[in-house]
Amino acid sequence: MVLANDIPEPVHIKLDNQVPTLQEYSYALSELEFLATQSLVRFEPTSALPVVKLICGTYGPFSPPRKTYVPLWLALCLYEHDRGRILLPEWMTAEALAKSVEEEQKFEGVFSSIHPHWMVISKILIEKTGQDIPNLEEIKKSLQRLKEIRWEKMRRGVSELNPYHLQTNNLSYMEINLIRPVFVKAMQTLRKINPAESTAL
Amino acid sequence: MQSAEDFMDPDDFLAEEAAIGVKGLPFDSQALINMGVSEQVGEMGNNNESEERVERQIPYWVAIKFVQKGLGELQMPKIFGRPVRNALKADPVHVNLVEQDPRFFAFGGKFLEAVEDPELAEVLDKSYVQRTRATLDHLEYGAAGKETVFVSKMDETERQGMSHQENILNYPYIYGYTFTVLGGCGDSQGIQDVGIQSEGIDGCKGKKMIGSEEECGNRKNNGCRSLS
Repeated sequence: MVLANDIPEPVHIKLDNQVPTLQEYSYALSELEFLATQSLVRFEPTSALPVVKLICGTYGPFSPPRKTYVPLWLALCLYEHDRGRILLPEWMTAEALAKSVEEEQKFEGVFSSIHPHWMVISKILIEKTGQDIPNLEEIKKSLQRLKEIRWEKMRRGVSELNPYHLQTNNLSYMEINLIRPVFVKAMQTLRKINPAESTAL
Repeated sequence: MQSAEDFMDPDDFLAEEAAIGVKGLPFDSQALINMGVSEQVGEMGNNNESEERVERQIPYWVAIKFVQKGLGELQMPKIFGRPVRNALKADPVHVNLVEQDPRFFAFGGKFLEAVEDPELAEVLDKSYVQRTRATLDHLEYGAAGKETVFVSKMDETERQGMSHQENILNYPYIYGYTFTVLGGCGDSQGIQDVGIQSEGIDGCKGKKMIGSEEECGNRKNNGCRSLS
């Protein structure tokens, strides 16, 4: 199930006996999506299904209209076969997102807490189950605002870089993935530029 | 500080090529050429017999060896001199580093390994961080891959960092749009399908950064994207 189609990804070239390059430090988009689709999501089956025994776990039995928590990949699979519908996660409703946007705007240097895979999950759900989501336009606007504000905060965080220690709470995995090569490269260069200070540790 | 990837790194070798002044007794240039240094460099020494201390410009990797053997003293290179330091302290982002030396930061690191100069270390540190931030801002507005005025002022280390930043900023996600969003006023039709990079209508046309502290003069009420 490839969800990211036709999106150019950085080419991962590995040569023997070489330290991995900075591009290999970051996850590819499809890898992040794979990890994100393991989060649980509420699913409401429309037809009965028996217990599904898989290597990674046992899911079911699905008896409508009881809602259960299943991993997102399973939910998407069942949705595509018309076996049920995926309910919107609590943090992704229009009201909850509006509240998150407010919180982000209130605090300057701090990120508000949000699901650590919010970017990927919201993208997948909008793509696949877009027609079922109420208030889709508002949700999209809030997501866009949220993304912009958080990215702006991250850019401000670049100015406070030092080669030894960096701690930020509540960054999602996608954001970390995006900023990782920038920060890693900057920290390495700072260590090279300022050797006396770093050996003092 | 040397790390594992520096050992075979050609940029590391090239960083040491920068010419630096060494004030020392005149040395025998033939001895240098015998050592394997190229003739061009070897001829920088002259064979005058006087005991005067003369200053000569030789590559850093040769100079270090001289200094370690006690044959001379390192002079502060011009690129780290007082005018450049003051310029970097005042406005690190717009200093043209390429005309100073294409490997400004890398050579600075090497130089600081030999010489203790906390002021220079701090200046280089802060200016690098500020310039990295400015590079991110610059790339945000779709300047990836283009040779702009800003890019022409960057040195080698920064350009390598920039290529990493470019790759990352081109990731599309959240319903297919990328990070390169133009700031400024977007009218509501621009935000209709949130996948469009909207430009402001007779507004700042994206010149104001998102979240900038300056007030946008042409503020439209329908979706100006500044943080305030």
